[in-house]
Amino acid sequence: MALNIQTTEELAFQEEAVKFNRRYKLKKNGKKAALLAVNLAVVLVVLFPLLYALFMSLKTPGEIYSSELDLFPEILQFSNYTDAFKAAPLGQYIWNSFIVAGLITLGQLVTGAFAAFSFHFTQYKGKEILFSLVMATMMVPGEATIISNYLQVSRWGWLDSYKVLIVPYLTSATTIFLFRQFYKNFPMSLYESAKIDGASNIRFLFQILLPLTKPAIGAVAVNAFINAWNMYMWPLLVTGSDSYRTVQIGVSMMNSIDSQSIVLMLAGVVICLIPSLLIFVFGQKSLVRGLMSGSVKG
Amino acid sequence: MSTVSLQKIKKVYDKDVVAVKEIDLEIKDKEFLVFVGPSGCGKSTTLRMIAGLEEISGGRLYIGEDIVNYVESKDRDIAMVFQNYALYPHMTIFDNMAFPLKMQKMAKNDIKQRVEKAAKILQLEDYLKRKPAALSGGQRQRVALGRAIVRNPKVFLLDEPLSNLDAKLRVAMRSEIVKLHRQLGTTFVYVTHDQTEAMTMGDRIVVMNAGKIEQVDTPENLYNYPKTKFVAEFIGSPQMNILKTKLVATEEGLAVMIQQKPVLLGKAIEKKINRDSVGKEIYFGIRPETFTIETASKNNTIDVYVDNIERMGSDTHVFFEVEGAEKELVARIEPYYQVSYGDAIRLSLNMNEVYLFDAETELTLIQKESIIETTMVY
Repeated sequence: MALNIQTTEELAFQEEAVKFNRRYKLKKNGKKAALLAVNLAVVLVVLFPLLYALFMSLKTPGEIYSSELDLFPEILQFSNYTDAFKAAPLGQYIWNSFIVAGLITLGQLVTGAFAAFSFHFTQYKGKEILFSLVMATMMVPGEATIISNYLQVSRWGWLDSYKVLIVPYLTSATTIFLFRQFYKNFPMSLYESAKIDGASNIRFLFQILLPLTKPAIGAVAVNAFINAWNMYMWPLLVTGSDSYRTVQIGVSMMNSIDSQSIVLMLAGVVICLIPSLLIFVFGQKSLVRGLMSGSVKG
Repeated sequence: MSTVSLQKIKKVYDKDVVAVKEIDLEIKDKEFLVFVGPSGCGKSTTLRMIAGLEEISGGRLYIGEDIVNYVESKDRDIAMVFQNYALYPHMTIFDNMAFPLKMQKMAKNDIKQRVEKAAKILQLEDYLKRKPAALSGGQRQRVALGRAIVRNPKVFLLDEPLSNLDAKLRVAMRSEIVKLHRQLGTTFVYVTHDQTEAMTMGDRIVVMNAGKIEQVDTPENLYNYPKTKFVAEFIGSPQMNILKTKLVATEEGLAVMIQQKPVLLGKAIEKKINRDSVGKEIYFGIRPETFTIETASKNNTIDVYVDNIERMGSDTHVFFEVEGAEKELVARIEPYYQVSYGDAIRLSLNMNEVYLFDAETELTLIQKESIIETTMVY
């Protein structure tokens, strides 16, 4: 064992080193703190509407109309939430939204994965033209076609049903495009190898392609679900009864049912935000990774 | 019978880009055939047409007795090994190798037996439960080979399988693949851009250039009797030296002009040359390994200045300029000669081992009988 004899010089040097380290750490921590402060400020700005809704939903109806800007409720009115469920069949609306958004997501995953597969992996005449046609639909704003679509489905007698909410959205150009971008980074030789090995296209899709593009599926699913959950115009137009109304419409209608129910509506808004937020929190990883892996050529 | 026959096989992209120009080729049963050529010469496209991954634009392709132009890859009874291994990353090594058999709906026990047998041949037994990511490059390529072996295909197609490996591993895998070929006794069709790989592995080599076949021959014949200037330059390392010069008749016999002096051809070569070419422009080729350092000035010596030196250890490459050459010439000399940059050296040319090509057609001027002779010897 080495002897621990230290001269005064060595001790002084050590002390100096410790001081230097401390200063260095302080500087580093200072930087971190500054960054954190900036981030917090941005977060506050971004989250303000959300927080505003949350706080307002916990106030009494009277408090809302006070002229002073007071963010925090005097007494937390959790009863607003239970009242919201009483004032309208909010449970039914949420259920409807889940069914609609869930099935739309599923449908878009299936059609998107299949269509993108055919656009990327198989060869046939007119493929490029077909793909640009599909992409062209992305350029047409939904509002432009909504009336003709409405007339169409009403003639079919589809109004006020699940299918009218779901069927028109079972496929989307965005989903196909996203899937195709992911497939572009997928090594073609794996497809060729599977073909030589004797796998059919369907088998390749299910046993090789889909298991290897899970991040893509996650990203596309999150994207599709949130879009479907937040649909407003179409459900507003085609549903009339509580049994098929989605939560977005139901919540906005709470204001008209009872003129004093802004707080209830806000409570509803907060409730219907929860699934989107949860999906984002849990799906964030695959969403971000998914979007990245599509953009950089591997 | 695992023969493959290409009859006027053609590949045209987008109506006017010709990748492969009507090639004819007979691949024999149990043969190790190597396609070699620079990138873009159509060798990979040809292989992919045999594999059924690329549509055939014209001609007929036979595997065994059957025309397979419109037969799907999986029904052609072939197996292919890709440059990037193309293993299924989410499956274990066992599942990777078992995949083609599962597709054939083979019984589980048989699959297990076959995979284990292949794993034994390739020394992969200890890795069967791992995933490809946990394996080294060489091991992954062995798995790819294993996936091909388990199917007992008529023909093995290998598309630059060693290009992704480092130099040392490549040499080791080279002989492993040759051994495997011997063990399996199946037809192998191998594509590479590396002439060393081609020369060391192939029973016969197909040299391709710009979509057509330049020459199909054994490694020895390609080296000794290249039919075209392209083949002569492509085979051999360092490359053959080429001079654009003239074939002249002198009193002592035929000669080529090198540095404005007629250098007599060796008697063995002279016999085989078509007299019609006398007086014409020709390409004169000489391999780096046939130069020797000389002290006395003779008819077959040239005096040059050393431009650059590469010491390989086993031998030394000396670069020098000669009039009429497209680029610097190189001579491979014994390593014990002390030469340095700028030295004047005298090199003697072995005029019995030279190559002559027509300047216009770039075809060899050395008559065919010699080629037939050596083929028979082989």
